[in-house]
Amino acid sequence: MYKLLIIFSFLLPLFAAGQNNFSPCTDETAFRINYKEMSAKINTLKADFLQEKSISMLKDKLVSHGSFYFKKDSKVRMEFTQPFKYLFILNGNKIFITDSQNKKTQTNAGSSKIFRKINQLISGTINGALLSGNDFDSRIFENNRQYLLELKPNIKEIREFFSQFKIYIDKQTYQVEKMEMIELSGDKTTITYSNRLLNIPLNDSLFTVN
Amino acid sequence: MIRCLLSISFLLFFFGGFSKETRQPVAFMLKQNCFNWDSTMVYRANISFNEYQFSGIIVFNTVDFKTYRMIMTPEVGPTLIDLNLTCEKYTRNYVARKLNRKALLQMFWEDFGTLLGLFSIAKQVEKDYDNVTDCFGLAKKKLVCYSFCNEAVFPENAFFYFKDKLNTKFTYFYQPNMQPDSIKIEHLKFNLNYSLYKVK
Repeated sequence: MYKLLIIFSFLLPLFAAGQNNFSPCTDETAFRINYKEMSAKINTLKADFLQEKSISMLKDKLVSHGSFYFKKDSKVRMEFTQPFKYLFILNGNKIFITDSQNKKTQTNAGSSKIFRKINQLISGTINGALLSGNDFDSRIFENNRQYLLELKPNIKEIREFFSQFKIYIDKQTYQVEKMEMIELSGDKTTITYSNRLLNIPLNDSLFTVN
Repeated sequence: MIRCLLSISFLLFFFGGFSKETRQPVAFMLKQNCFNWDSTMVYRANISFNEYQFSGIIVFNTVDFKTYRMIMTPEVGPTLIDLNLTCEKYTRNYVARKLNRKALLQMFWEDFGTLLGLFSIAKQVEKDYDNVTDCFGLAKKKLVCYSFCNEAVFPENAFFYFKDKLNTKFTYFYQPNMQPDSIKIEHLKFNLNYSLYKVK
């Protein structure tokens, strides 16, 4: 019995690691077509998100979570609720921020290439527009459960901050499950989505701040 | 923390038998060299400059006995500023291109250096400003002063003077014998204010 337990405890991590192993995607064309088609069907999305910031000089990750909203074509609302309240809205060329002190800021993203590109990146993961254009060099991997889309930025303004983005996409639904933003220093922000609701009515007022 | 305790025990051993006049400056030096900070401090920060707001996280980490590393990162997005701060200077580990301005980084060095007590190893100078316990002279007619309440480890206030005029006021809020759970920094010459709230 003990021998079995010992063998099992050795095998479990190996088995788990094997599940995460990604190999190059065997049919990239099919992935691109299916991802684009499935994304085109998403008009709205509401999900919970968990954000984890890994900073090299901190032992623990900085964890926060909240609600994520998307409305076609590129309206995004990230509402942090724990451990603090913070609201971040991208609506076309405008960025609205309400911080934990309830101070509101509005910025014109149109005047800043980096904000425009970050908007395109976040909404592009959902509406499928990410794979078109030359903003990123992409590589596609797969395992038995997910596709992994690795994106290296070609744009100078993004390359200044990030070395790579990793998008984890469910193989059955083609929905984004996790996004990793890896900085030049190796520090990393991971956003994991859960409890997704697709194509539910979302009022436009969610994407603005009064 | 261990560094502070070691320094305290070392200094107590050597200065314990000296007269009161000798002990007093040492006590002040201890307060201001260490402030009894933990090796890592994480603060949530709101920085306002005119109509602009920055909301994010500031991490301070001790690198060695006289160096702090400071990272500033927004809630959503990458690290913007990563500096090493000492009493003498700041060095850049990483600074986002648009923030890589000497005047701005100098100001962060002065603000966070004052906040952390880094300049307390500079030459101590006598000043008769109101409510001020200790003052330390920096280059170019700059002066950092602290006011301590009784035997508190952390100051109640810090003040940054330039040519004898008050430039910046720091207010520490904390329970006795605890690290400050919030800190307010107000620039009096222009509209730049920070509010820091302790995360861990």
